[in-house]
Amino acid sequence: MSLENVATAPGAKESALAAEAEATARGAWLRAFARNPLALAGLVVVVALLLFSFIGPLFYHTDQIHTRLALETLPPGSGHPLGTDDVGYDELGRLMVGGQTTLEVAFGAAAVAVVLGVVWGATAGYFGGLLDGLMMRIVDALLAIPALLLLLFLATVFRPSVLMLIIVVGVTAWLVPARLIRAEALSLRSREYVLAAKTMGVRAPTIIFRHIITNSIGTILVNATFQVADAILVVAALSFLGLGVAPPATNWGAMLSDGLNYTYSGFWWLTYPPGIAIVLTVLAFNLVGDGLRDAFGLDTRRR
Amino acid sequence: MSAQATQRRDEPPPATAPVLKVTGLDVDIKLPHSVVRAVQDVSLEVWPGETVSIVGESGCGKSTLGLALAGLLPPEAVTRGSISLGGRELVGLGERQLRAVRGAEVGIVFQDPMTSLNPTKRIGAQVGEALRLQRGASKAAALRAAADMLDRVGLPRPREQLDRFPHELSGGMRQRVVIASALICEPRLLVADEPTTALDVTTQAQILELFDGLSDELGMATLLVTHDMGVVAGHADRVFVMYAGREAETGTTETIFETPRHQYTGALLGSILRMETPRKSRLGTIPGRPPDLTAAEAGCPFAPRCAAASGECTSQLPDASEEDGHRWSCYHPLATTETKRIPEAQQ
Amino acid sequence: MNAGATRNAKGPMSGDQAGEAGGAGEHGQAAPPLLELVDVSKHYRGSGLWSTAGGPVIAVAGVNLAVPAGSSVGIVGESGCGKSTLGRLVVGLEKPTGGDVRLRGRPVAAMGRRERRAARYEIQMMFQDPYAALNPRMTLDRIIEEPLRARGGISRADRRARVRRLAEEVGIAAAQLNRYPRELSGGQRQRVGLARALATSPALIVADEPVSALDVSVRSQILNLMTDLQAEHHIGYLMVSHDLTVIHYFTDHVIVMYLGQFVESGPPEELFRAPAHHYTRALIDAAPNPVPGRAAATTIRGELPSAAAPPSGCRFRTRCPAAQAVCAEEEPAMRTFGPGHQAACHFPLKEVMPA
Repeated sequence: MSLENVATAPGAKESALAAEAEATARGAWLRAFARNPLALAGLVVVVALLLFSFIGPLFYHTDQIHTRLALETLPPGSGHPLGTDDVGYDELGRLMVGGQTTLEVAFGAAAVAVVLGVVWGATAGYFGGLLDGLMMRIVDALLAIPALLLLLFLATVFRPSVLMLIIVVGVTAWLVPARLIRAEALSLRSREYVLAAKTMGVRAPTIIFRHIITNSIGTILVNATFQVADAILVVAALSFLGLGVAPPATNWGAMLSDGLNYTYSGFWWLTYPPGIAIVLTVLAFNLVGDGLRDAFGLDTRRR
Repeated sequence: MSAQATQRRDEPPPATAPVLKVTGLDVDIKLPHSVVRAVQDVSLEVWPGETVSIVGESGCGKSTLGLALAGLLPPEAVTRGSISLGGRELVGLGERQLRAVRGAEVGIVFQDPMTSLNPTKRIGAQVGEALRLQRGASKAAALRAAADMLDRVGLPRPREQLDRFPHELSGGMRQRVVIASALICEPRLLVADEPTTALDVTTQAQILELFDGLSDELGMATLLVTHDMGVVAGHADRVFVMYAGREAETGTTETIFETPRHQYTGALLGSILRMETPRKSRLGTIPGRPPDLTAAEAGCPFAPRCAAASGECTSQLPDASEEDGHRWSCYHPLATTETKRIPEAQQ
Repeated sequence: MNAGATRNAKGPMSGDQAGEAGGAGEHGQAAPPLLELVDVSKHYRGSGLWSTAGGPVIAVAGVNLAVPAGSSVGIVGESGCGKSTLGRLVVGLEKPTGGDVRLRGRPVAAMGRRERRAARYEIQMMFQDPYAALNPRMTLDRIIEEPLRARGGISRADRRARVRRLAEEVGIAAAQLNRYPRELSGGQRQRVGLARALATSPALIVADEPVSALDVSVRSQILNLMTDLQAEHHIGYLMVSHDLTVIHYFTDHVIVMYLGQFVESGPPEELFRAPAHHYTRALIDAAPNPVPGRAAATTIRGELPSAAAPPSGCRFRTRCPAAQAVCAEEEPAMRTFGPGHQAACHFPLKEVMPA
């Protein structure tokens, strides 16, 4: 009802905002994260998978380019710890190569989504009014388009490649961080340090980066980790439907898709490894994201 | 330990026992890497009908003390000592037992009326809640009592307000609602933590007047936690000055304001801005900052900032001296003649 | 009720221009005052479907004010009176919906972009909440440096030097400059806020409740500092507060606001010793006084009316102990009660000074 703030008792506001500042304090969130066993487990799995996919091939050499039909669909045995696939590639090696593509696309798409979404959302939230309305209606309109259909459309139109996948997935995923950061911007823009910057004549883009985005870093990081997890699933789905990178490149989704043709033949080593890899990675990133969210105190923080 | 406090009003001293008797209370708050010793060795008494004010600056532990007395400490808090409410010991009680005490024996009013009320429940239901929980009253009876109480706290058209939601009322009216819900079971003690700080000055005056009236009318004891010496002067019978979790000085309001003995009390009173303070003059201040409550230091906690500190002040805590209900712990208490000159002495 | 109509109030002045009516520049003899508000008002539209009944919220209704250079003017009032909005109008965070804000005689609205940017640096602001006024992710030196970076035209080395000098002036050790705000106490943060406000050598600082969120003993430290800085740099202050004792102590001229209007203005000693307006009297009575004894009974009744539907005639009449029929029909005009002392009331508490 009143238009202004009334004074609060000295010390009362201190604890609320100090707690908030504490949570985002340098290193404090790292320590909080380190105390969370599930989050640490997730992080370990992520690192392990990264090493497996990118460093693995340096130690475990297989030919992933030439097909050898004579060796097709061999079960796990000597020389091929996970057997071979339907064109003779070593399955374990395939898993590594597939992992590289999957993770590259996932991180790349997450980066595109987060950068685009954060800038869009922060700008909309900071300016408010007509610009905010316009920008968020665009987001709403895009959200109304079923993502899968859009993805399929884009994937068929453009030449398949890692870059294409990154852009396609990123461009459909930026809407969620846009909304999230807009909400943050809305609440941050009336903070007194933002008003202070305005009175100092700091220009809007600088305010958005220096004051709004830096103080939303918690939300951004958490969302970024979930973006990676989501991207992996989306790429898997796309590849499953036959769209994605061309052979001899592959990713886990494509491997899963190919392998499913042989379920009734009993060639379990063609489906379980990529399937488990996908589940494990997504789970790990989700655990990391949850851990970050707890470390930043984002669920319980008072505004 | 304590002589009975003299009442400000000319009434015969109550024959009964104190409503609240705190003895040697310690409250430690466990943090991940440290322990905050929020309250250390606090003893005080509150008698029926009197208003005792716990006064101090940020970080002195007064809010923690208030929470302890209301039975609302967080699970990380470790309490030692005794809190006796109407003869009943509160320290060591489990949550269920505390819940029985809260609302029925102790009413609590917090600072922010915006967040003290549930925005999704109607006023009538919230005010009557304690009555239904503690006394098993029926919905109808509770609403009737709620309307009564709202009338008593000065809310206009109380029966109409029963069906409204908190956001429909102004800050002052909301605080009245909070007070009504705190008093519905007619508790013996009201603990109010900065109850008017978030309100306008004119509304604050109205609410404090309400407290005075209710205290007289219901014979209720009030514990007023505040940082505002003006509020203390106008509405408290006795004052308990806290610094760094400990008692610095305690006595009747006149005694504390007119003849303070503890150096901190004197410095505090000297730094308050009053209408009489000469305009543009140099103001008295207390240099430095309040101490860190996680570090256990020997000696008097105020010594680092005290103008009169000496060697013994930093090595050992002073014992309490007492005179007619006026108690202070200071090696260099202010002489009574000195106090009138405090504003200049601090410059 | 004529929304946004100017009260028949001539700009209250302080200090040497007391008694002279009207905004300076009228007669052209004296230099225009540093800051002037001429018939300034600010309306907010009700928000869409849930707009408050009655129409726009009138936060500030046609006020006139002049602040000479180097003086301290205080605006006192409670929540909803518009004082914070007024502060924001002065500093440029809000644009008036009516009237104009003039800097040294020039209306800000008439200025070109470049001139307006330069003007902005002449008036800076100090905020109420020390815990929200500083970006928690910036170090102190960057915080104080920010206005200098924004203004440009000063080398990095010079900026650093200036920041160090400013910090020293406000009592922040150079060693602390690479710390973060969370490591400081409320009082120290307020010092940093002051240093930041001073960075561009403003002529006027708008201080919005500068000490309300601080402990009593720290308040006096900050007030002493503000006084010192004023003497050193010849800056003026526009202090907005609900605390009468602070305003009485610090300012040369006081204006009492209620529901967007000036109800009384004058020199602090006179105003607080013998007010003319009933609202001022009520504020004085309600202010807690650290002298033991039962507080005086309040004379004010009721609740603050909605700013979207203010009472007709005198806006204070719904809570005034002396209200009569005429108060509902006619808005009272500003009348003079002494040198520089004016109030708008049909039944004031003292005698109107003969013209």
